[in-house]
Amino acid sequence: MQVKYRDSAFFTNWREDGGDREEITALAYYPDDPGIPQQQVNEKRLLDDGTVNPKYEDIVRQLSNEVILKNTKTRKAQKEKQERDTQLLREEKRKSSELEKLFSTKLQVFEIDEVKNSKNRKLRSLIRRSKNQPELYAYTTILLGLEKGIFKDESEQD
Amino acid sequence: MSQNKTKGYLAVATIDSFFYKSALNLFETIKDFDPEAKVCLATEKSFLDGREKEICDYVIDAPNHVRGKMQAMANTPFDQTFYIDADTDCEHEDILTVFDLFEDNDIVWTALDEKRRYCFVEVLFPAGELYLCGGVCLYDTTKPLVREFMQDWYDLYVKQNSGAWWPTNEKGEFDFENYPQSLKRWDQFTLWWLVNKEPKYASLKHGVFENDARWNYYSKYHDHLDHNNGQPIVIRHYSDGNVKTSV
Repeated sequence: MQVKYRDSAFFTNWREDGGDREEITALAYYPDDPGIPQQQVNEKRLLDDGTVNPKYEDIVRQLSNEVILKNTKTRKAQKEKQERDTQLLREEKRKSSELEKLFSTKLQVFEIDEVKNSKNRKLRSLIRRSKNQPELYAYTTILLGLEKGIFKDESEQD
Repeated sequence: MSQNKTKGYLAVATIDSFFYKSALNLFETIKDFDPEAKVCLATEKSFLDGREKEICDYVIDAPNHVRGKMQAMANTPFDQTFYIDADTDCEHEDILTVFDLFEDNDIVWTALDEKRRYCFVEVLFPAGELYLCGGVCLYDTTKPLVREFMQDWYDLYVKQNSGAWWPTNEKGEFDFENYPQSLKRWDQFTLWWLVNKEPKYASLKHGVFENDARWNYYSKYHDHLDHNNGQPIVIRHYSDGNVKTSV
């Protein structure tokens, strides 16, 4: 029975530097018997006994090295873009989650009596405008220190 | 004439005290940039803890309803109001310019823009698409029809959400084919209806802020897509439910 290969075949482990063409991934189909579903095949260039795999050769003969190499490069570029996009989305999600947590923490900070009732507009404003958790905690600590009399506000002596 | 109109900011806190806390925070972030800003809090009396006396110029009642905001919008004490959802804060001094952005509109909104749809749950439906977003809204109630619009928005939403109102088909039956029931929970759908289908309000001029994303920048927006076109964000919107439950 004749086996044909879709022209989407690619070198399975192809790398930019090494040009590994030791295995091809392809979709095989059987034009004489459409009832048989197409299936993915992975054919190594060499068989276990060191001889050249005739199925590998058949794929290369049908599709050509150039087509398989072109598919491989296209696929590699797509994969890399996909990975970049996934990474970007993961980063966006992380940033979004951090911002929401920061907002939530600010509201919690303003539930602390000393902060809630403080007349120190400057520090309250700095707390509200904090860009990250460490900054938020730092300004909150200063305000609590002043409100509790632990720190002395030098500016008030001017 | 515009110079004589009273101007102020409105936020609404109903159902959950989280919104009271976040509304006060919002007002303070506005006053950081504009100490003279007039702010009005519409809320339920049970949430008040005294802080509102320090921060708010007006405190008005709002109904204990998930969308009490629209009724509060109708009851604004200002001629020109910039309504802002409570779970937001103000990040930039351009807030000072907001009342200059009416152009010739009666009401100015932000949009559920196509490029930002990944952030919105439901926009398209067989008979149209939701476009205006009620997260912030600049409006002028010196035109009485604008105040009526806000009140009708609330009244119709209450009916919509309770199942008492829905668009009907030619047989007089609720038209769930063109207007799926999944839209029932969205006040944006009520808004869409009033703007596009209600003849009473056909004369109202609706606009969308130029570079609108910066006026209602959802924390879930993807920064790398630059929805704010490189301009600083003025209002950031923390719409994630996790924020609410953790405060």
